[in-house]
Amino acid sequence: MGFKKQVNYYFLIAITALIGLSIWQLFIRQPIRKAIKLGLDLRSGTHLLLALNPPLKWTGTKGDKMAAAQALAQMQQKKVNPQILLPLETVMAKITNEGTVPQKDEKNAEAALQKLGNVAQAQPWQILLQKLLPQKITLKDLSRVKLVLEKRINEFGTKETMIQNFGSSHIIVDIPEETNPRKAEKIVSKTAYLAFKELTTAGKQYFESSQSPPNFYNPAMWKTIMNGSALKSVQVEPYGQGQTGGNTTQYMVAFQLTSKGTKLFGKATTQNVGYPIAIYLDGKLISSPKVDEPITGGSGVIQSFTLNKAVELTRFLQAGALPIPIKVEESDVVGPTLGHEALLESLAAGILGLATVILFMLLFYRLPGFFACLALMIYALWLLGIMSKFFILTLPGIAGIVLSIGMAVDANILIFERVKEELWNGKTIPGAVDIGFQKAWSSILDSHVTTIIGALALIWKGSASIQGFGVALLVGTALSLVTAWGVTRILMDWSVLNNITTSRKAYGA
Amino acid sequence: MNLPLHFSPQNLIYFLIWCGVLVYASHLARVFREKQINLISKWPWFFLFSGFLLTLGIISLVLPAKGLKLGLDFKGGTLLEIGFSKKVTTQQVRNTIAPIAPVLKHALIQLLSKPPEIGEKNPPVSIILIRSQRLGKTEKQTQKMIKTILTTLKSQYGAVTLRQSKTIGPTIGHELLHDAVIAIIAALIFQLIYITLRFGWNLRYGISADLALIHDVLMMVGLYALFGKEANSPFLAALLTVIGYSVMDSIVIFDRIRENLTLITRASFESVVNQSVLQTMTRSINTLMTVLITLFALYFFGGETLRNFAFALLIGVTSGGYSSIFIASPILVLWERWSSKREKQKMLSTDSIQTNGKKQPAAVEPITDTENEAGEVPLPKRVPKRKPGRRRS
Repeated sequence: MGFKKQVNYYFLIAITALIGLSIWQLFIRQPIRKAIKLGLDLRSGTHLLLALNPPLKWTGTKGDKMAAAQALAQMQQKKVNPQILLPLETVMAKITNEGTVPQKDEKNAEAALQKLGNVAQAQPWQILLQKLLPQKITLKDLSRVKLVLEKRINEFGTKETMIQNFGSSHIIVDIPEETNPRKAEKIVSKTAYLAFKELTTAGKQYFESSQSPPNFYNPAMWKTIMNGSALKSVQVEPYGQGQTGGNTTQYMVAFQLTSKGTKLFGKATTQNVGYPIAIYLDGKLISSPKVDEPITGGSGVIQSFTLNKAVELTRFLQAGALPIPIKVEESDVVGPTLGHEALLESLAAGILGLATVILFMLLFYRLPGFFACLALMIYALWLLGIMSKFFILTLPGIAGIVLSIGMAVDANILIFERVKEELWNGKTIPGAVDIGFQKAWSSILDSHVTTIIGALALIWKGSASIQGFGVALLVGTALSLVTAWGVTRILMDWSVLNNITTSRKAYGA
Repeated sequence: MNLPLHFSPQNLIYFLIWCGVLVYASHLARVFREKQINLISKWPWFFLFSGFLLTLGIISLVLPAKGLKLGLDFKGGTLLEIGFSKKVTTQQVRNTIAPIAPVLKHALIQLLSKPPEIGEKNPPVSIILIRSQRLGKTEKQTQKMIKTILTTLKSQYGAVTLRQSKTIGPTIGHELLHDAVIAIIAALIFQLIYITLRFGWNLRYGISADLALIHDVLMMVGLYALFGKEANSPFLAALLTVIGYSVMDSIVIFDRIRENLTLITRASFESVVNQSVLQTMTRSINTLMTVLITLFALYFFGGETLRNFAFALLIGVTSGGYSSIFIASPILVLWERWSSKREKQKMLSTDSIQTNGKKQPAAVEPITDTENEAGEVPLPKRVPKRKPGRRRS
């Protein structure tokens, strides 16, 4: 049986390029100490203590509210300073619409009352504010906040974040590698509450008479259509390409709505043709486009931002809004939990383990075993190269890598056992290598594809840390497939083509 | 560098002994194949062995006194922030407090760099953050424990101040566990679909692989409870790894069965399975060996933190390799026997009323006779040529 296979040079070039890229990423672009990001168990990070600030619940009677509303109407007639009126109007609107008032709004109203001084209208308001009571934080609230925080920190590129309850109303967040607490605070503390609002009847009247939208922060003029939970997905797109001749500096955030959101938005835009709608983030206006025609397709855009702002906004929106606002109470830099000794120790253990594996491979499979070891070195290099780009390594993570190297041996062993069998069956060396590869390939493919399917399911359904594991599994398995087919195969073919040895024993028979 | 700590001669000897055991297992796989031992027919013994271990594990899981010990990551615990008037390292503090209570051995200890609070007199030189499992069952016990820790630290490092102490929640909460379970179930379903498709619309291959997988997971959880090891997030990672490994391992054997079924048409299903198991056994055990060697190295030399992780994987991977040979393959054979029996009974009951269905399966029984000639790949020259090559050097 002739050995017709030629070494595929394109493949060889691709593999060499991959090796070069990994070496560049790990050693040349930056020193290896910097290239590999380490988790909080091995390197410093940021430690944040967050307090949940739930909105205050309205517990008063209808009479209390009526009295306050009357007082407000009197003040509006008297044309009291709008800076004092606005916070009160906001509180009134929040009580009527939602039954709760954010702590910030309550504080603003209190300050407004102090400015107002001791007038008759202030008294019903003082009673009203007293009956806004703090809500109890449930475990469910805490876990909802934790979920959003985890997603958000992941969106901003840090994995392996540790988030835990602290007492009954606080959350601890430990972010590895991040040694700038200010930046971490900014990411964590933003509520990212997106609101779409339309004009009320009064607002529409105002718009018709003055041909300009009323004060965007006046709760009597604007009412909410929907909030950020109606968004299904968001992405950044360039804006105004045609006008500026392809040289865009402006970007917009394109969104796709859920089916419920599509219905709400479709209805609102149908009723508001010719009127503006307003979009707010954390209560601040970010855009107020005019509705030209009903939007029933469930997609739209928010314009226009610089690239950085647009990317930041999509990240916040992707993770969702915090169901309860939070306040950063402490933010410090913390040292690693295990430190340098632990890292050295486990690295030494890993190296010893791998060395023993190499020894066994050489003893059991001889020449192919040597090729497998070469292939595994390349596998390890690739894996580290990819890992360092996308993952933060904790100590168990490092152990996992060492383990995956042990597992990547599997594909090689399958091939060599098959080649051995074919040699026992009386095939020539080239024939045995060729057939052995072919026969082993079906097993290798099936076992790897099954694992890849499992990994994809973990990425699809799992929460952030499970997803991280899924990605690592996916990368490791895919690389193992590429190594077995590319590296081991090329080395074996090369040795057969060049008649490196005619000894059947060298191939393990 | 504190390397020699775990590289003691004692650990080295243990490591070498285990490596020896693995090499012997690999040798046994060869012997089994040469002697054409009918492994599948011994299935009651394998099931008994697994059943025994699983029962032990499940009993220790259910017993209120034992159960799976969940660590800080799953259960939360106590956080202490302690200020020192001296410079200390986390290693020093760990060494000082570890003997006080077993829970403190696995505590997370970190150095905190914090700007001094406004108006604070004598700001501490270093601040240490300790996160450990609950220090006592009641609030009173916890307070007492904290006092013991403080006095112990005081005797070593001079003045210390307790700046904060509070209960902390788990990092792996219910939602995360819930998500993990859903993700794993989704993974199993999709794997089942793929395997079923690849094995000619035959559901039993996928289900046998999944049963073996459940065996491995139960084994890990059960033995963890039996040995009273503390389960933390690395344990979850180990579980997920084993789930990937276990199915992969079964597939390789099944793949060989599929191939042999097309090659060997004369032999019974049982003997084809047995052949396939024997043919892939060297591979199974050698793969297992490479993984286990790395794990033993991590277990003996990797230090306290890796020891738990490696232990979980040692159980899981061993069980994964064992179950694909000794559990998944016999299940396949038993299933086949059961379904062909049923088919026969059906045919008999519809064809004639006289025949006793129970005697019928005996006709399929003489498997052991066909075994030797069934062989592997039916190449006529195979037997004489293989023998000289297999002389062990």
